[in-house]
Amino acid sequence: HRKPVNMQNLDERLNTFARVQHPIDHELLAKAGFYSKGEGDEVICFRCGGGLKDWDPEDNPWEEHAKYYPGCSFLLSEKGQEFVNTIQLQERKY
Amino acid sequence: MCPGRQNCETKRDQARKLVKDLESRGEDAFSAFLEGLRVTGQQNLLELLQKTAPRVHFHPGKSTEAGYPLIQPHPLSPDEGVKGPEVRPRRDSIQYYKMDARPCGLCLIINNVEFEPKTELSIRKGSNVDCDKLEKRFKSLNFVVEVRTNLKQRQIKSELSALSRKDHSIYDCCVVVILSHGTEVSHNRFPGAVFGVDGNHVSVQEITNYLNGQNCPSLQGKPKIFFIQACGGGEKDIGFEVSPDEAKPSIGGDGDQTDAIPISSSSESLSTSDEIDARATLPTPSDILVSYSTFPGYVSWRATVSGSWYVEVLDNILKKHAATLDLTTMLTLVNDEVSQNSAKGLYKQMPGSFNFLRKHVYFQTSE
Ligand SMILES: [Zn+2]
Repeated sequence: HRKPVNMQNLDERLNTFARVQHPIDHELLAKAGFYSKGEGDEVICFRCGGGLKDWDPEDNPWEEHAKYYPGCSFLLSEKGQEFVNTIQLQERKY
Repeated sequence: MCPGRQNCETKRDQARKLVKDLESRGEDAFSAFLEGLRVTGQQNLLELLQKTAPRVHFHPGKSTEAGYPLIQPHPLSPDEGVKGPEVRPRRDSIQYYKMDARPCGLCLIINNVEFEPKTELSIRKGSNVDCDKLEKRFKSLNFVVEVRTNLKQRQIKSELSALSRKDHSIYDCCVVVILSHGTEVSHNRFPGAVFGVDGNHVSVQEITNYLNGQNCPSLQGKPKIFFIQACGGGEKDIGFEVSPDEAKPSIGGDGDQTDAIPISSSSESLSTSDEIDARATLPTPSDILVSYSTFPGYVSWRATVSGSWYVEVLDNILKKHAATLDLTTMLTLVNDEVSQNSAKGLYKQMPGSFNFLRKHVYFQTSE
């Protein structure tokens, strides 16, 4: 009988990457709130539920988090509004 | 979709190079590329590119290495090298939304000033000053402006619903301004909510949904811009800082919304299958930008006579720069100025922008 996994915990998130090949550093992903679903490179944020996939090796997990899920309260509490604003208003994807 | 990581990276590198080439060869590069596809008989790809708006990733500051010479470079005439609004195309292009319809679009302003006594929400003195400023400003930017005052929750919804049912085919853009008290509502894309004068709120997520591609087809592919001046409710209005997590305990630990269920395809997601960067597994809203006077959960400072800092600064920046700068650049200026202003006083205010536009927005100006 295993106790339920709590994804709010950094180590628990990190554990989900144990058997996963991911183009991004596992610790960076876990610190940015993400855990692995165990298939492909798809990850989920424990707080906002936002998922991200099709990672490029150069991608930064916090930046991608801020780009697609700017309202995430974990993101805002860890990185602050200024960071989110910068990502949201920077020149990109035009 | 790619058999191995090695192949995948090579393919991505190639895609990156191609995109950089298209971006760095001037305005005609994309049409030349399409012509190239036609000549070489790549009919499928040609139709695909013409049907869906291509998403191009623009990396400023990064040098563009010469990749695959698909397009014959043509000599630049002296003023072709100058990038700026003067040479921006009037038609829809990869980098700019078409913005030359006259009038440009509809602008709805909801101005909630007096709240029902039972709500215990204070009168928003100065809001009429904000309202007048923005009404004039958006008229000068060639919008057809309508103002609605003191709406209840139900009336806010029915005004937005009416706006979404209008035929926007002849317009290029749509603007919604909401001046009211606000409150916190968690959402991973568009958090926050605004109050009707009856004290019931409408979430910002719901507000944006009225105009999304599914609910308002005649605005599909066109920029939908929301400006929200939302003061914190009740006592918070005096202006002290409340962090989002302290203001309201999140419900059941994983506080944020989980109502956005992954949907494989929707008219909202215009992303192509071979995206370059990591992409969202939830459908991404398209062509929507929400500019908040302050991040939801933080107090928005409002001077009772002169209106709000945010609207004053926004109006000034639009007046000074709309003829030359694009919207996101102007909003960066607004954020800098409001946060500097507030740093001088007792209270801190940082506007927030949640930006799901795919291209630059340049407003029409009379000059
Ligand atoms: Zn998140």
